[in-house]
Amino acid sequence: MSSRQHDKTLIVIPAYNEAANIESLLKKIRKHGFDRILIVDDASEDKTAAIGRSSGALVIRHIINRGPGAATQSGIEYARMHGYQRMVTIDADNQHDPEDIQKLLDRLDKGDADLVIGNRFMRGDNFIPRSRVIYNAIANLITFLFSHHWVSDTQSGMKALNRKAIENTQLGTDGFEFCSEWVIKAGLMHLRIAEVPIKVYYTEESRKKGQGLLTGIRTLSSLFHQLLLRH
Amino acid sequence: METYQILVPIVALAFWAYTIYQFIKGRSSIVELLFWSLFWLLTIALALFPDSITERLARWLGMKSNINALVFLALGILFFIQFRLYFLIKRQNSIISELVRKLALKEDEKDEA
Repeated sequence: MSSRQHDKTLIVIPAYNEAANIESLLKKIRKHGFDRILIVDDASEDKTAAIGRSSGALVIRHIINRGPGAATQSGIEYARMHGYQRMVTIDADNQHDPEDIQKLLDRLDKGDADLVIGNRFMRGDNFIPRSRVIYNAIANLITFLFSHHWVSDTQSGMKALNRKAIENTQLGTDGFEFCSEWVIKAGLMHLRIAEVPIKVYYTEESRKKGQGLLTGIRTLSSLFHQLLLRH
Repeated sequence: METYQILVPIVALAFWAYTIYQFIKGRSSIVELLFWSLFWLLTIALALFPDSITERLARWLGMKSNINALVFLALGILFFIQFRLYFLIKRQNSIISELVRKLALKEDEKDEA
Protein backbone atom coordinates (compact mmCIF):
# COMPACT_ATOMS: atom_id res chain seq x y z
CA MET A 1 0.00 0.00 0.00
CA SER A 2 1.49 3.35 -1.00
CA SER A 3 1.83 6.19 1.50
CA ARG A 4 -0.34 8.32 -0.82
CA GLN A 5 -3.22 5.91 -0.35
CA HIS A 6 -2.66 5.95 3.42
CA ASP A 7 -2.92 9.77 3.27
CA LYS A 8 -6.47 9.36 1.98
CA THR A 9 -7.35 6.98 4.81
CA LEU A 10 -8.59 8.27 8.14
CA ILE A 11 -8.42 6.11 11.24
CA VAL A 12 -11.20 7.14 13.62
CA ILE A 13 -11.05 6.37 17.35
CA PRO A 14 -14.21 7.21 19.31
CA ALA A 15 -12.92 7.61 22.87
CA TYR A 16 -14.28 8.23 26.34
CA ASN A 17 -11.89 8.27 29.32
CA GLU A 18 -9.14 6.34 27.52
CA ALA A 19 -6.09 8.28 28.74
CA ALA A 20 -4.48 5.03 29.90
CA ASN A 21 -4.71 3.39 26.47
CA ILE A 22 -4.67 6.09 23.82
CA GLU A 23 -0.92 6.71 23.56
CA SER A 24 0.00 3.05 23.10
CA LEU A 25 -2.82 2.61 20.58
CA LEU A 26 -1.62 5.59 18.53
CA LYS A 27 1.92 4.20 18.51
CA LYS A 28 0.69 0.79 17.29
CA ILE A 29 -1.43 2.35 14.54
CA ARG A 30 1.50 4.50 13.34
CA LYS A 31 3.76 1.45 13.33
CA HIS A 32 1.50 0.06 10.61
CA GLY A 33 1.94 3.16 8.47
CA PHE A 34 -1.19 5.18 9.23
CA ASP A 35 -0.63 8.81 10.18
CA ARG A 36 -4.05 10.35 9.74
CA ILE A 37 -5.65 9.43 13.03
CA LEU A 38 -8.68 11.21 14.45
CA ILE A 39 -9.69 10.88 18.09
CA VAL A 40 -13.31 11.81 18.72
CA ASP A 41 -13.15 12.60 22.41
CA ASP A 42 -16.66 12.15 23.78
CA ALA A 43 -16.24 14.65 26.65
CA SER A 44 -13.72 12.54 28.60
CA GLU A 45 -13.08 13.56 32.19
CA ASP A 46 -9.44 12.46 31.96
CA LYS A 47 -6.61 13.61 29.66
CA THR A 48 -7.62 11.59 26.58
CA ALA A 49 -7.75 14.68 24.32
CA ALA A 50 -4.53 16.24 25.66
CA ILE A 51 -2.57 12.99 25.29
CA GLY A 52 -4.00 12.51 21.80
CA ARG A 53 -2.94 16.02 20.73
CA SER A 54 0.54 15.73 22.23
CA SER A 55 0.97 12.40 20.43
CA GLY A 56 0.21 14.11 17.12
CA ALA A 57 -3.30 12.84 16.48
CA LEU A 58 -6.14 14.98 15.16
CA VAL A 59 -8.64 15.56 17.95
CA ILE A 60 -12.22 16.80 17.96
CA ARG A 61 -14.02 17.04 21.26
CA HIS A 62 -17.68 16.75 22.21
CA ILE A 63 -18.52 19.29 24.92
CA ILE A 64 -20.86 16.80 26.60
CA ASN A 65 -20.90 13.00 26.54
CA ARG A 66 -23.23 11.67 23.85
CA GLY A 67 -22.24 8.02 23.52
CA PRO A 68 -20.21 5.87 21.11
CA GLY A 69 -22.76 6.13 18.28
CA ALA A 70 -22.71 9.90 18.34
CA ALA A 71 -18.89 9.94 18.50
CA THR A 72 -18.63 7.56 15.53
CA GLN A 73 -21.01 9.70 13.48
CA SER A 74 -18.86 12.77 14.29
CA GLY A 75 -15.87 10.85 12.90
CA ILE A 76 -17.80 9.98 9.74
CA GLU A 77 -18.78 13.63 9.25
CA TYR A 78 -15.16 14.71 9.74
CA ALA A 79 -14.05 12.22 7.05
CA ARG A 80 -16.84 13.44 4.76
CA MET A 81 -15.94 17.13 5.24
CA HIS A 82 -12.23 16.57 4.67
CA GLY A 83 -12.65 14.40 1.58
CA TYR A 84 -11.13 11.16 2.89
CA GLN A 85 -11.57 8.26 0.49
CA ARG A 86 -11.46 5.53 3.16
CA MET A 87 -12.05 5.41 6.85
CA VAL A 88 -11.49 2.78 9.53
CA THR A 89 -13.01 2.83 13.02
CA ILE A 90 -11.16 1.15 15.86
CA ASP A 91 -11.96 0.88 19.58
CA ALA A 92 -9.89 3.03 21.92
CA ASP A 93 -9.42 0.41 24.64
CA ASN A 94 -6.73 -1.55 22.78
CA GLN A 95 -9.01 -4.55 22.23
CA HIS A 96 -8.31 -4.49 18.49
CA ASP A 97 -5.01 -5.21 16.79
CA PRO A 98 -4.06 -2.32 14.46
CA GLU A 99 -2.40 -4.90 12.21
CA ASP A 100 -5.93 -5.83 11.11
CA ILE A 101 -6.57 -2.34 9.69
CA GLN A 102 -4.71 -3.27 6.53
CA LYS A 103 -6.73 -6.50 6.20
CA LEU A 104 -9.96 -4.52 6.24
CA LEU A 105 -8.61 -2.03 3.68
CA ASP A 106 -7.38 -4.83 1.42
CA ARG A 107 -10.89 -6.30 1.46
CA LEU A 108 -12.32 -2.86 0.70
CA ASP A 109 -9.89 -2.46 -2.20
CA LYS A 110 -11.16 -5.63 -3.87
CA GLY A 111 -14.02 -3.39 -4.94
CA ASP A 112 -16.97 -5.59 -4.06
CA ALA A 113 -17.71 -4.11 -0.63
CA ASP A 114 -18.48 -0.61 0.65
CA LEU A 115 -18.47 -1.51 4.34
CA VAL A 116 -16.08 -4.11 5.76
CA ILE A 117 -16.70 -5.36 9.28
CA GLY A 118 -13.95 -6.87 11.39
CA ASN A 119 -15.38 -10.17 12.61
CA ARG A 120 -14.21 -11.41 16.04
CA PHE A 121 -15.89 -14.80 15.65
CA MET A 122 -14.25 -15.90 12.41
CA ARG A 123 -11.01 -16.67 14.28
CA GLY A 124 -10.88 -19.66 16.55
CA ASP A 125 -8.17 -18.26 18.83
CA ASN A 126 -10.08 -15.25 20.17
CA PHE A 127 -11.29 -15.50 23.73
CA ILE A 128 -14.60 -13.65 23.89
CA PRO A 129 -16.58 -13.43 27.16
CA ARG A 130 -19.72 -15.57 27.10
CA SER A 131 -21.98 -12.59 27.87
CA ARG A 132 -20.78 -10.87 24.70
CA VAL A 133 -21.23 -14.00 22.62
CA ILE A 134 -24.86 -14.29 23.79
CA TYR A 135 -25.56 -10.61 23.34
CA ASN A 136 -23.99 -10.60 19.88
CA ALA A 137 -26.10 -13.57 18.78
CA ILE A 138 -29.32 -11.83 19.87
CA ALA A 139 -28.26 -8.55 18.26
CA ASN A 140 -27.39 -10.37 15.02
CA LEU A 141 -30.84 -11.92 14.96
CA ILE A 142 -32.64 -8.62 15.55
CA THR A 143 -30.46 -6.88 12.98
CA PHE A 144 -31.25 -9.64 10.49
CA LEU A 145 -35.00 -9.25 11.10
CA PHE A 146 -34.81 -5.60 10.12
CA SER A 147 -32.13 -5.73 7.43
CA HIS A 148 -32.65 -9.22 5.87
CA HIS A 149 -28.86 -9.25 5.67
CA TRP A 150 -26.94 -11.75 7.79
CA VAL A 151 -23.82 -10.37 9.47
CA SER A 152 -22.22 -12.63 12.07
CA ASP A 153 -20.55 -9.83 14.08
CA THR A 154 -22.91 -6.86 13.97
CA GLN A 155 -21.48 -5.40 17.21
CA SER A 156 -17.85 -5.14 16.12
CA GLY A 157 -16.27 -1.72 16.60
CA MET A 158 -13.75 -2.24 13.81
CA LYS A 159 -15.12 -1.25 10.44
CA ALA A 160 -13.76 0.11 7.18
CA LEU A 161 -15.73 2.35 4.83
CA ASN A 162 -15.08 3.53 1.29
CA ARG A 163 -16.07 6.99 0.08
CA LYS A 164 -19.55 5.83 -0.95
CA ALA A 165 -20.22 4.55 2.56
CA ILE A 166 -18.71 7.68 4.14
CA GLU A 167 -21.06 9.84 2.08
CA ASN A 168 -24.17 7.78 2.74
CA THR A 169 -23.87 6.81 6.40
CA GLN A 170 -26.00 8.81 8.81
CA LEU A 171 -26.32 7.18 12.21
CA GLY A 172 -29.21 8.37 14.34
CA THR A 173 -28.61 6.44 17.55
CA ASP A 174 -26.14 7.69 20.15
CA GLY A 175 -25.51 4.56 22.24
CA PHE A 176 -24.14 1.11 21.40
CA GLU A 177 -27.24 0.35 19.34
CA PHE A 178 -25.52 2.26 16.51
CA CYS A 179 -23.71 -0.97 15.51
CA SER A 180 -26.96 -2.68 14.51
CA GLU A 181 -28.40 0.52 13.09
CA TRP A 182 -25.31 0.84 10.90
CA VAL A 183 -25.80 -2.61 9.34
CA ILE A 184 -29.53 -2.01 8.84
CA LYS A 185 -28.99 1.39 7.23
CA ALA A 186 -26.18 0.05 5.05
CA GLY A 187 -28.70 -2.44 3.69
CA LEU A 188 -31.25 0.30 3.06
CA MET A 189 -28.60 2.36 1.25
CA HIS A 190 -27.66 -0.67 -0.88
CA LEU A 191 -24.13 -0.62 0.49
CA ARG A 192 -22.31 -3.93 0.03
CA ILE A 193 -21.14 -5.49 3.30
CA ALA A 194 -18.23 -7.92 3.80
CA GLU A 195 -16.59 -9.38 6.89
CA VAL A 196 -12.97 -10.28 7.59
CA PRO A 197 -11.57 -12.11 10.64
CA ILE A 198 -9.85 -9.92 13.23
CA LYS A 199 -7.99 -10.53 16.45
CA VAL A 200 -9.48 -9.23 19.69
CA TYR A 201 -8.03 -8.92 23.19
CA TYR A 202 -10.37 -8.54 26.15
CA THR A 203 -8.73 -7.07 29.22
CA GLU A 204 -10.38 -6.63 32.62
CA GLU A 205 -10.84 -2.96 31.77
CA SER A 206 -12.30 -3.46 28.30
CA ARG A 207 -14.77 -5.97 29.74
CA LYS A 208 -16.13 -3.26 32.04
CA LYS A 209 -16.69 -0.98 29.08
CA GLY A 210 -18.63 -1.81 25.96
CA GLN A 211 -21.56 -4.16 25.86
CA GLY A 212 -22.01 -6.72 28.55
CA LEU A 213 -25.23 -8.68 28.82
CA LEU A 214 -26.97 -6.08 31.01
CA THR A 215 -26.04 -3.03 28.95
CA GLY A 216 -26.77 -5.20 25.95
CA ILE A 217 -30.34 -5.77 27.05
CA ARG A 218 -30.78 -2.01 27.49
CA THR A 219 -29.25 -1.41 24.08
CA LEU A 220 -31.45 -4.02 22.45
CA SER A 221 -34.58 -2.55 23.98
CA SER A 222 -33.60 0.91 22.73
CA LEU A 223 -32.78 -0.45 19.27
CA PHE A 224 -36.02 -2.39 19.13
CA HIS A 225 -38.02 0.71 19.99
CA GLN A 226 -36.12 2.80 17.50
CA LEU A 227 -36.50 0.38 14.65
CA LEU A 228 -40.04 -0.71 15.36
CA LEU A 229 -41.31 2.85 15.52
CA ARG A 230 -39.40 3.92 12.42
CA HIS A 231 -40.60 1.10 10.17
CA MET B 1 -74.32 17.82 43.17
CA GLU B 2 -71.29 15.94 44.57
CA THR B 3 -68.08 17.68 45.76
CA TYR B 4 -65.97 16.29 42.87
CA GLN B 5 -68.43 17.87 40.41
CA ILE B 6 -67.29 21.26 41.69
CA LEU B 7 -63.59 20.49 42.25
CA VAL B 8 -62.85 18.74 38.94
CA PRO B 9 -64.23 21.55 36.73
CA ILE B 10 -62.31 24.18 38.76
CA VAL B 11 -59.01 22.27 38.38
CA ALA B 12 -59.73 21.57 34.68
CA LEU B 13 -60.51 25.25 34.05
CA ALA B 14 -57.21 26.25 35.68
CA PHE B 15 -55.31 23.81 33.43
CA TRP B 16 -57.25 25.03 30.40
CA ALA B 17 -56.31 28.62 31.23
CA TYR B 18 -52.66 27.52 31.54
CA THR B 19 -52.91 25.83 28.10
CA ILE B 20 -54.25 29.05 26.56
CA TYR B 21 -51.49 31.07 28.30
CA GLN B 22 -48.83 28.71 26.83
CA PHE B 23 -50.30 29.22 23.36
CA ILE B 24 -50.41 33.04 23.72
CA LYS B 25 -46.75 33.01 24.85
CA GLY B 26 -45.88 31.02 21.72
CA ARG B 27 -44.79 27.94 23.66
CA SER B 28 -47.35 25.58 22.09
CA SER B 29 -48.88 25.14 18.66
CA ILE B 30 -52.53 25.59 17.60
CA VAL B 31 -52.87 21.79 17.31
CA GLU B 32 -51.71 21.39 20.92
CA LEU B 33 -54.12 24.13 22.04
CA LEU B 34 -57.03 22.40 20.30
CA PHE B 35 -56.09 18.95 21.65
CA TRP B 36 -55.75 20.09 25.26
CA SER B 37 -58.83 22.34 25.08
CA LEU B 38 -60.84 19.34 23.92
CA PHE B 39 -59.33 17.21 26.68
CA TRP B 40 -60.14 19.68 29.50
CA LEU B 41 -63.65 20.36 28.13
CA LEU B 42 -64.30 16.62 28.05
CA THR B 43 -63.04 16.33 31.64
CA ILE B 44 -65.44 19.10 32.74
CA ALA B 45 -68.33 17.50 30.86
CA LEU B 46 -67.55 14.09 32.41
CA ALA B 47 -67.53 15.59 35.91
CA LEU B 48 -70.82 17.41 35.39
CA PHE B 49 -72.70 14.63 33.58
CA PRO B 50 -70.87 11.43 34.55
CA ASP B 51 -73.59 8.86 33.94
CA SER B 52 -75.17 10.08 30.73
CA ILE B 53 -71.82 10.61 28.95
CA THR B 54 -70.14 7.37 30.09
CA GLU B 55 -73.27 5.28 29.34
CA ARG B 56 -73.42 6.75 25.85
CA LEU B 57 -69.67 6.09 25.43
CA ALA B 58 -70.09 2.47 26.60
CA ARG B 59 -72.91 1.93 24.11
CA TRP B 60 -70.82 3.46 21.34
CA LEU B 61 -67.80 1.26 22.17
CA GLY B 62 -70.00 -1.81 22.58
CA MET B 63 -69.17 -2.24 26.28
CA LYS B 64 -71.59 -3.32 28.94
CA SER B 65 -70.27 -1.16 31.76
CA ASN B 66 -69.72 2.61 31.61
CA ILE B 67 -66.75 2.23 34.04
CA ASN B 68 -65.00 -0.09 31.57
CA ALA B 69 -65.53 2.46 28.81
CA LEU B 70 -64.07 5.23 30.95
CA VAL B 71 -60.99 3.18 31.91
CA PHE B 72 -60.52 2.23 28.24
CA LEU B 73 -60.69 5.88 27.19
CA ALA B 74 -58.31 7.01 29.97
CA LEU B 75 -55.76 4.32 29.02
CA GLY B 76 -56.00 5.35 25.39
CA ILE B 77 -55.29 8.97 26.24
CA LEU B 78 -52.39 8.02 28.55
CA PHE B 79 -50.79 5.83 25.89
CA PHE B 80 -51.16 8.61 23.34
CA ILE B 81 -49.42 11.09 25.66
CA GLN B 82 -46.70 8.55 26.51
CA PHE B 83 -46.11 7.86 22.81
CA ARG B 84 -45.87 11.57 22.06
CA LEU B 85 -43.44 12.17 24.93
CA TYR B 86 -41.29 9.27 23.73
CA PHE B 87 -40.90 10.85 20.29
CA LEU B 88 -40.32 14.27 21.78
CA ILE B 89 -37.47 13.02 24.01
CA LYS B 90 -35.92 11.07 21.13
CA ARG B 91 -36.03 14.18 18.95
CA GLN B 92 -34.53 16.35 21.67
CA ASN B 93 -31.72 13.81 22.16
CA SER B 94 -31.00 13.78 18.47
CA ILE B 95 -30.94 17.60 18.30
CA ILE B 96 -28.51 17.76 21.27
CA SER B 97 -26.16 15.25 19.61
CA GLU B 98 -26.27 17.18 16.34
CA LEU B 99 -25.51 20.41 18.19
CA VAL B 100 -22.57 18.84 20.08
CA ARG B 101 -21.21 17.44 16.79
CA LYS B 102 -21.51 20.77 14.97
CA LEU B 103 -19.72 22.54 17.83
CA ALA B 104 -16.89 19.97 17.81
CA LEU B 105 -16.41 20.25 14.04
CA LYS B 106 -16.64 24.05 14.12
CA GLU B 107 -14.05 24.25 16.89
CA ASP B 108 -11.75 22.07 14.77
CA GLU B 109 -12.23 24.37 11.74
CA LYS B 110 -11.35 27.35 13.93
CA ASP B 111 -8.16 25.60 15.13
CA GLU B 112 -7.17 24.81 11.54
CA ALA B 113 -7.69 28.43 10.49
